[in-house]
This record gives sequence, structure tokens and C-alpha cells, in this order.
Amino acid sequence: MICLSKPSKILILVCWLAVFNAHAAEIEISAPWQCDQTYETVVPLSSTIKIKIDTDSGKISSADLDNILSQANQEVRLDFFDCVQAFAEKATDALMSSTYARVSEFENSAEQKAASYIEKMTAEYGAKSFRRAAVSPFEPGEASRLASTEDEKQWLEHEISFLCGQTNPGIKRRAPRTKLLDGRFISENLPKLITQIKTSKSMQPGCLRSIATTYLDLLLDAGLAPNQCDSNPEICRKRNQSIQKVVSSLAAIDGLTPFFSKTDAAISSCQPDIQGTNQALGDLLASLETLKACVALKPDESAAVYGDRGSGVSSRYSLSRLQPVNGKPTYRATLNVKFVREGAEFDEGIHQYYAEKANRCLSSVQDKLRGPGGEVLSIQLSDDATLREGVAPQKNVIRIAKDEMRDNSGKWSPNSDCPTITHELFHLLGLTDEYEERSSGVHIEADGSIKWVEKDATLPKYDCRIFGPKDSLMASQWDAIKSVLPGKTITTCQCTNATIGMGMGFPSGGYGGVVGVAGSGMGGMAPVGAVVPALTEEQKKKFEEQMAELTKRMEEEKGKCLKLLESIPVNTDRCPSGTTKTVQDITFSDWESNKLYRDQMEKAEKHEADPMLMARSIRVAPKAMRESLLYPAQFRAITEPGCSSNRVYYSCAKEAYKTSRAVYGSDRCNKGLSKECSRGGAAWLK
Amino acid sequence: MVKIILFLAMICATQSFALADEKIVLRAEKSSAKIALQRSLVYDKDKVILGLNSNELCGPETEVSLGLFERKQDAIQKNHYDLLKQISNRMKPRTSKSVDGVTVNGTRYFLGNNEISDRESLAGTAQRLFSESCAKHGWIAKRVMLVDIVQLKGQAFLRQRQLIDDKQVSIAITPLARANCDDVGKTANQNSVFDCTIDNYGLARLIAGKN
Repeated sequence: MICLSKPSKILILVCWLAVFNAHAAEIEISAPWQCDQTYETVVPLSSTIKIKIDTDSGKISSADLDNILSQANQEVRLDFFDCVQAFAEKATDALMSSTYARVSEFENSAEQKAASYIEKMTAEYGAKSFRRAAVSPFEPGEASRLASTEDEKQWLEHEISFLCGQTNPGIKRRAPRTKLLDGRFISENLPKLITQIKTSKSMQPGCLRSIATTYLDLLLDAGLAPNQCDSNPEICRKRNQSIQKVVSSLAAIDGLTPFFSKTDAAISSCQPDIQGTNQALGDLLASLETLKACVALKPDESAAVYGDRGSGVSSRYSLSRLQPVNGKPTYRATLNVKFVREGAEFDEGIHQYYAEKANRCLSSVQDKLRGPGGEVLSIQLSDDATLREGVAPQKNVIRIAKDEMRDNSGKWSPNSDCPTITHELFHLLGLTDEYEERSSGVHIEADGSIKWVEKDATLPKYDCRIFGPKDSLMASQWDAIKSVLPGKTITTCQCTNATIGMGMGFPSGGYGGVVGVAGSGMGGMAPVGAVVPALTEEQKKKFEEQMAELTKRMEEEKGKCLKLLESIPVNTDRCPSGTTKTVQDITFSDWESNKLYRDQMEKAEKHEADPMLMARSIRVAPKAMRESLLYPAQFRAITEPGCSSNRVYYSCAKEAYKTSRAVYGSDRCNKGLSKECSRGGAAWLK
Repeated sequence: MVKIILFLAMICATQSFALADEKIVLRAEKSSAKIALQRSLVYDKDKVILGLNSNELCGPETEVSLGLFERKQDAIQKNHYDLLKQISNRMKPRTSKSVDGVTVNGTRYFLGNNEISDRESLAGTAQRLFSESCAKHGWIAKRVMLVDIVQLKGQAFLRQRQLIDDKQVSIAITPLARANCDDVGKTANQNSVFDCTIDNYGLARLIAGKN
């Protein structure tokens, strides 16, 4: 006989009895039966069930299981399905995990057949009991006949305190959740636990609401359906009273009173039947569920924000509301970020380098993170050690790619610029993309077949996305950052024929550019890497003549142009005919870092014509600056994540990663969207 | 006559409703930095459909298949179906039910609309059925991408083979360094493990084994 003890998993003692004789091999397994009940029944509270498997004939038998199911069937009004199903799971787990290292080995084995047999018996009992409209044998609020062990009590307490962010990894899950409705636990343990939680420094906002939700859920599960009440009117009345009694007990616990008092009062005064009680509890649960996703902090409160809070993007940060600054609500969002080079182990040096870089990028916009009413937000990168227990943000691992690539929130290029870094960090705060996807999607091949590509898509993916305005951080990070930085706006008139000439334009100014003269005999510019054949003497001569002609024409045009430019009065807003008006923003940081910008600014301020560009500035004014890098809805999505105050934003943001069937996706765009979404632009970000 | 037609129509309507209602959907979900990792089992009257965009629940594998599989309902699957039906019968209809508490390794389990992560024996059943589905024996690849890492002339490549109705319809091989893969660690026997994003199919956790 081989006995395998598995205390670390589900406290099952699995014993294998291998009886070998000349004809057959028999396996016997044992698994515990435990059935929590408040009613006096013939079904045992606890027992051990043995199952025999004849590996040769494949016959499976269990007198113990047959006996217990027969006893359960005698109790026609009660449904022991939960007990049978829990046993089946423990027995199957034992069959699977103690013998086979791999799932594929379990397939078609005698043990799999035994597991299937137990499953069949469970389902058959369940179907019979369901047809009888039997009810669970556990009356909420009454003392369970199967007293909780110390381990179970610890687990039950942990189950409650876990909802408030207190974890104890040493605790194993060992009790059915219905035990939370045990009368003794509710009257003795729960009030003490809630008091402890309320006085704990690490109590998370919303945790008492989570406890209330858990109890509501359990009470709703304990409620009976109309057909069950028809078959068992007596138990139905009793169940209704039990549930109402538990609601009163919960309403009397300091800390849970705000959640249950109204419902308790309503139930007590109207004395509804069980369907009315279910309805009242269901309504209360729905209202608590709506509030659950919303994190609305009071000063000095903190919360860990993780998961999708409504935008479709998973957040991973902690949020603290600090004391107001100049009377304005003030928040701090903390990101726990670890940088790791792609394909390498964690290296503190690499982490520090990129953490400092990210911090530098954030510091350049920290004073531009403002809400619509002047609320203040700051973002810090930190790690668990520096944060208060209970509100540590989840870790974000950002991989640094080996080569340049298109950044995403989990992987950056080695040399990402600050606007891109800021954009990616704001994804971790729950903001969704707002730009038009142009690169990846479906590429239609020449033969009509389709291929998914990351670049040059014929039909780009995410075609349901609602776009933001150009100066939104999540639409175009470079424009957004520029929009909050100080600088000058230069209005320039440029000769329309300025493109006849040779020279270089400004890096991003849109002024003229490189010129080739089409049809000049040069054949335009040779592509990079092309071999330019040597010219014959005759061709050389012709080329020199053409160049001389071109230079002459250029000088003439330039002369006319400069005359025209000099005739324009300064500080006007109109450019004369023959010129084109250009408006360009230059930030001081552009100006400091690039000589071309400095030269341009110098000439602009003197209103001197630039013979090279054939342009002249007519107005130099301080650049208009947005007060905040964030649009109001983006600010709210970070500081009040998941709250209904941002309903429009969430409704539109959810579309960001949908791809319609028209472009080989599987989604439907614009289903039930707010009208603000269809307008696009800034309407949905207000 | 009209009454008979109406009666027949009613029977048909009731039956079609009942049939539609028979479908049972079991779903596992885990969030990751890139996508929501999902695996679902749809138990229909006569077949079971397995859909997955990640092999997270099965652990790293030398060959990962993502997409849609199907199999006929045999005796074992029928028992799964019957058991899940009894569990579903007892679930109280709610618009949505989510769980605040502990989830097994961050994985959340759903039966229909209801999250069952916090109900130990039900989550255990879900875990077991998903775990069984890791063995691909008996499943027909309806629309699947088979992904593995192969070595060719000393260089590692990501191989992607698309299967439609169990037949290979395309193959693509990309140098691993250029594929959308992250090195995420090593197995106990020191083989590298990569997370590879597969366009339109999901995330494959692959062991770079020898071939």
C-alpha cells in the first residue's frame, strides 16, 4: 500500500491500494467528504469516501459514495449538490495530481475514467435534486453543525481582511465561503474584525464596501427561487427570516451600518416575502457594484489602482490625495517601474539610467498636470519600499529593446524621446491611445490574400478608435508637449516661388526645401545608391548652360521677391499676393538646442528678410500655452479612476482597441456610444 | 389550423430558446502588460469549442497553439457538460458578478456572466477543465496558429504555421531577434523562455528547445 499525504494542497490523504493478482489490478482511492449544514439530516457532516477502480475491466465502484448519495436523496427537500461537487473536485484532484505529471498522460487512463464516473454521479444527483427544487442545507445566520476548525476560522478572518488589503500568504483556503454566514462568525468574529480594520492605518478606501458586497452576494446566493418556495413553503419562510436577521446583524456592526441600514429598515417595515427580500438585496448590490470601480479619495487617503477602470487600458499605480495646495485638491500618482534590458537579467545600472531619464521627462511637465478647476497632480516613479503598506502600486516591468522600435507601454526603444516616454507612462495611469493607427493591420497582397503586418498596412487595425485633438498627449505627444512649453510664435510671409533655388529648409519649419529642376536634363535627383553614369563632354556643356540659366532666373526671382518682402509693413497679419503665410511655434528649448532656430528667431525679431528662404517675419508673439498637458477627462481618469463623472470619456475610450469586421477584425464600432464620441476632437475629453 | 401553426411555432420558439440556453461558457482571464490573456471552453450540445489567445494556463511549451479548436462531445466531455449545467442551474442570475478577493495566481474564472474565482470548488473545476484542455489530443484545429522556436544553421527562428480545419495553410519563419519576442527567463533545465506576440492570435509563452 502506498499512501501519499498532500497537506500542502487540499489536505487530502490519498491512499493507493494496488491489489495484484493473477487476473486483475485494483486501485482504491480515498477522499474526504465534508458537508456544512445547519439542518439535522441523515447526511453525514464529514466522512471518508473510498472508490475502487478495476484497471483491467475499467469498472469503478464506490459503496461509500452510493450510500451518501442515497442518504442525500432521502432528504428530498434539501440540495447537497455543493457538498457532492466539492467532494468530486477533491477526489478528481487526487486522481489527477498524485499519479500523473502531465495532463496528456492522464488522458484515457483508468483514473480519468474514475474522475469521469464521479463527475457523472455528481451531475446525476444534481439534476435530480434540481428537479425537486430542493434547497441548500445551510441556513444563513444559524450556527453550523460542523464547527469550524482553528485553520478554518483563520481562513475566514483572512478572507475578510484580504478585502481590505491585508494579506497573509501563510493562510490556505480551507473553508467553504458559506461559513462566512455562520451565526457565530457573524455575531462574534466579524464585529471584532471590522473594528480592527477600521483602526488599521493600512485600511484601503472602499474595503468596507467590498465586505458589504461579499455579504450581499452570499445572501443572494442563499435566497430561494419561486419554484423552491412553492415546493418548500416552510423552509422558504424560514430562509426569508434568516436572511432578514443577517441583514439586521450586519446593519448593527459599526462600519457596515451605512451599507445595510436602509435596506434593513425597509425590510423590517415592509416584511416582504423572500422574492421581495432578494429584490431589495439585489438593488443594494447593484448600487454598491456601480460604486466599486470608482476610486474617489478624500484628503490623506490612498488607493492602489489596477486593472481596467473603464478605459480599456489596464492601470497600475497608486493614488494618494494630499492636503490641498492653495485650496486646490492635490493628488500624487506613483508608478512602480522596473527597467530591464530585453533578453537580459535585471541590472541596477540599466534600471537607474532609464529611471533617471523617465524622471527627467516627467519633471519637465510636472507643473503642467492640472485639472479643469486648477486641481494639482504630480507623478512620481518609486518602488514598494518607499510606499505605505497596503497601497503599493503593482510593479510595471518595462523592457528596453535592443534596437530602435515603435514604443509601447511595456517596451521602449533604447533612445526614446521625452514626449514618447511621457505618453507611454500615461498608459500605465490608464489613459488610452487617441491617434490614428496607420502602420499595423492587414496588408492585402498582390494575389488578394491577406497578411497581418506591423508596418505598411493596407487596412490599419483599431479603426473604431475615437481620435483626440492634435495637442492631446495620447494623440500626438510631440504636439502636446510643445503646447505647454513657452516660446514664440512667428508669422512669416514667404515668396510663393521660393522653391526655385537650392538650399536647405529649417528642420521642421515647412519652409521651402530641396529643389531639383524637373526636365532640366539632370533627370532629377539620383536615388541613394544609384550609379550615376559619367557625362559626355557635350552633356557636360549642356548641363553647365542649364545651371547658368537657372542661377540667372533664381537671382531675378530673388530680387523681385526681396523687394516684395521689404514692402510688407511689420506687425500686420496679412501677406501680400505672391507670398504665402506660415505660422510656426518655436519653443525656447528648440531655440536653445538648435542653431538654425536661433538664427531664424534672430532674423524674425528684427523682421529682416531672409534671402536664403526668401521669407520675412511679420509678427513675433509669445506662444500661446495650454495650462495643462492633460485634458479634463484625462485628468479625471487618473485622479478619480472608474467614476461616473467621466462616463463620456470611458464610453469613447473603450473603442480604442477595437477593429471592425470591415478591416478583418471582429468588433462592431460605435455601438451605443455617447454622441460626444462621434464628434471626435476635444469634445469627449472635456 | 391557425391555432396549430401558432402552437407549433411556440414549440419551436421554446425549443430554440432552450437549445440556445444549453450552451455553457467557461472562461479564464488574466491581465498582462500586453493583452488580456484568455482561454475559453464553450460546451455546446454536441461539440466543445476551445478558444485561446495565450498558453499561460498550460505553462511555457516548446510548441504553442493559439486560436480556435473544436471537438465532438464524447462521454467524458458530456459529463463535464452535465456537471457544469448543474453548477449553472444553481447560479443566481445577476447582470454581472465580480470578485474583489483572492484569485488563483491572478487568474479569474467565469462561468457564463458569473465570476467564480472566489468559490474554491467551482474555480477548481474550471482550473481542471482548462488544464485538461492543455493536452491537444482529440481537438481539431479550426483556425489555429502553431508557434515554435526552431534552430536553423545555428540561428534561432520563430516559426508560425497557420492551420485551418487541421490543414496547414501558411508558414512564416522570422529570425527570433527580429520577431516580437521578449526573453522572460529560463526553465529549470536552463532553456530560455520567450513571450512572443503573434499578430491576430495572442501571446505565446515558448521554450526555446532543441529540434
